[in-house]
Amino acid sequence: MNVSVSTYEEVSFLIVDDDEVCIMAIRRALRKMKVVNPVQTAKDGVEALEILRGDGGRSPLRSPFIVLLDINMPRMNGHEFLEEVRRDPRLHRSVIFVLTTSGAQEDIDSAYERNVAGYIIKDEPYGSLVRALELVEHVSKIVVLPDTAPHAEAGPDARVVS
Amino acid sequence: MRLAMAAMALLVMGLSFIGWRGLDRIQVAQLSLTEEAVPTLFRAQAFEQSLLKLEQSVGDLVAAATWEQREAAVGRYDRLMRETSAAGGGGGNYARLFRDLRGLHADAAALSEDIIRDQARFAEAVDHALRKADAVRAGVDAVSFEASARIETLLLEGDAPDARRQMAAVLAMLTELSSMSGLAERVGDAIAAAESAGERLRVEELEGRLAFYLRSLVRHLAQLPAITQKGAFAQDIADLRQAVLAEGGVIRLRLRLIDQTARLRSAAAAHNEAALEVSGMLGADLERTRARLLKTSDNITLTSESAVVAMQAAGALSLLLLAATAYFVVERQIIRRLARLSLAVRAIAGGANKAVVEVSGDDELGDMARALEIFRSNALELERSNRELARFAYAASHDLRSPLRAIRDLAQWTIEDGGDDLPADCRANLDLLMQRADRLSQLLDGLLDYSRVGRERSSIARVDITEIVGEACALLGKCNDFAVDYSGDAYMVTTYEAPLRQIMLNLVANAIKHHDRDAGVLQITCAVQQNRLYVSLTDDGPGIDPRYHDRIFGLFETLRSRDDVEGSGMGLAIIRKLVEHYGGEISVRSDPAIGRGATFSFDWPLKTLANDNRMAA
Repeated sequence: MNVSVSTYEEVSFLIVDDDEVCIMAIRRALRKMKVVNPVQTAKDGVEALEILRGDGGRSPLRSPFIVLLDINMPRMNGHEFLEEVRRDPRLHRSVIFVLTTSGAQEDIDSAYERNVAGYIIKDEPYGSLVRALELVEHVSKIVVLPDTAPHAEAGPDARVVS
Repeated sequence: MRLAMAAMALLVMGLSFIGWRGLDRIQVAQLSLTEEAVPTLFRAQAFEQSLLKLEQSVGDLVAAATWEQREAAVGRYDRLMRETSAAGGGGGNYARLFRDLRGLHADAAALSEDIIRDQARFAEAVDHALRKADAVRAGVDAVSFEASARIETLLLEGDAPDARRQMAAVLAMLTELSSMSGLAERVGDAIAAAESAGERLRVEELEGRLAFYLRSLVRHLAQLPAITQKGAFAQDIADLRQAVLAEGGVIRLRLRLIDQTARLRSAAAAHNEAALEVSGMLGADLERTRARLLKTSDNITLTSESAVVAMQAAGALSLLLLAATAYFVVERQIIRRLARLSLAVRAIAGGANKAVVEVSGDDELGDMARALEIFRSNALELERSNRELARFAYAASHDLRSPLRAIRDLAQWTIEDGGDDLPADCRANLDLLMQRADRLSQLLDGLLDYSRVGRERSSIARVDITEIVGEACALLGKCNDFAVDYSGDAYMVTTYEAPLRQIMLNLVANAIKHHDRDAGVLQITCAVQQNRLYVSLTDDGPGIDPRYHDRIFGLFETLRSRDDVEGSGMGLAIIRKLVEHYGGEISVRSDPAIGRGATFSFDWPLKTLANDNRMAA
């Protein structure tokens, strides 16, 4: 079934980062860019999963959405979150960008092992954050994002992430 | 094992000694051969020849008919005898025998002398006898002639009765005379026959005949009438008889000659028999000598064979010894262990600090192995501590950055959000806050750089120094204001590329940053000496007080307040750490009291590509 462009639904951003100031920086940048997409934040993997699955009484985050994921977080870090998401039959198609300060090769490899959409390194110049967010915004506008699978389908589409 | 080798060495020496002794004995035997046996052989041969010659000379003596011939034969014999005796004595036996030979020869020589003398006498006697016989015949013939003449006369007288009686008497006398002539002739013949008669029997027969002839002559003479010659005839016949039959006469002399000749011949035979005896003795000697020769040569062969065997055994054993030494000592003890040590050294140099050193022992190799073990554990420790440091530096720079950034951002946002509502001193405070945050960030960067110095192995490449210098200036963006004056050849050198770039960059940046004017000149000189690169950079800035020449290389050191010149203060510290890590030294020359400018000099290793890339990889 083709999705017509006119039934455009707003893309939500889910930002997963334990650094409060970092989240503030992202929000400010988005505001400066006049990006009005709804933004949700989580301070670690556990909270992010709650948002995505709708635990604790709220409804799960409606697709389409893009996740901006940090790596180094307490409780459940970026890799563990990715592991969980790719295993989840409903969530495994999610488009996730890693946005982190770590440039370590293991982090990069590990992320791409779990099919992240892209790995972006936040380095010092403030401008790089802005460009990263511009990229994500463009993706949200141009790319057709996947739906969350409504039922747990164990069909040929189901991806088993090892 | 050393004991076993010592024993083997002794064995080799023993065998060699046996072999040497054998060869020595062979030499002695050979000497005995050449000095005894061989001369004996030669002597024997010479003797044999001499004997032959002696026999020949005796034969000559026997055959000698004249004094000269006899002299010659005797002389030759004497000479030969002298030569033989002189040639070699031959020992007591031979001397005696040769003396005997000489004796026998002397006998023969004496006999020969007699014979020749007798032969002369015989010839005279024959001559005499023949003359006598001739005389008789001649006398008889003369009377016959007269008688014949008488007959003729008588014939002419005719038939006178006396004449017939006289003629009968004369005829009767003629008959007697004719018989006598015939007999005389026969005597002559018999004498001639006796002259050449060689056997005693024949001579005796001739003697008989001659006696008969002579008796007949006398008989016939008796029958003769009384003529005047009758007396003369009787005398002549008596003389003839004397000349022929008497002692000293032809017959007697001839018989004596025959006897003597026979005696001479037997003397010669005795001599030659004796010579044969000598020859026999010689033969026996030769046989003995030959037997000794054979025995000696057998000895030689045996000894030489056993010597050869001994030498061969010694040789084989030596080789075995050598092989055993080579194998045990060299191979096992040294080469293998050396190979293992070398392998371990290379592994550890290549970075495999976990490689086990499988060499042990009490000797130098063992010591090396133990030292290597210590190096290895040191290297392991160093690696571990380096890793620790890296982790620490990374963690520090990483984890400290976030709050630092947060501080800076929050200050920034406060300024942005406050806008014009923000009081001026608040704003100034926030500015300072941001500056300090930036500085802290720079210091962190510098610290991270400093910690990273030398941890990464840099690759070796061929680099152009002028290009590095140019790049350093370009990176700092001040090429227009600061001129670079490069002297030294345009060196293409082979060395660690990245750290050299970093050093040049830092030095140029330092010079520019600390210059008190907006424009200046940087002089860079490079020289290559003994596989090291010597670089110096001179600026025309304010210079550095000699008091601070040491301090400027310290961590976080700056000479002007950080408010004037922003800098981490790490630049020179990093440069020094880099230079020293690669085995060089950096120094500064400057004295503002004397003049402007400062010169930084350092040296840097140059490499060849092949080996060191292997080691560094």
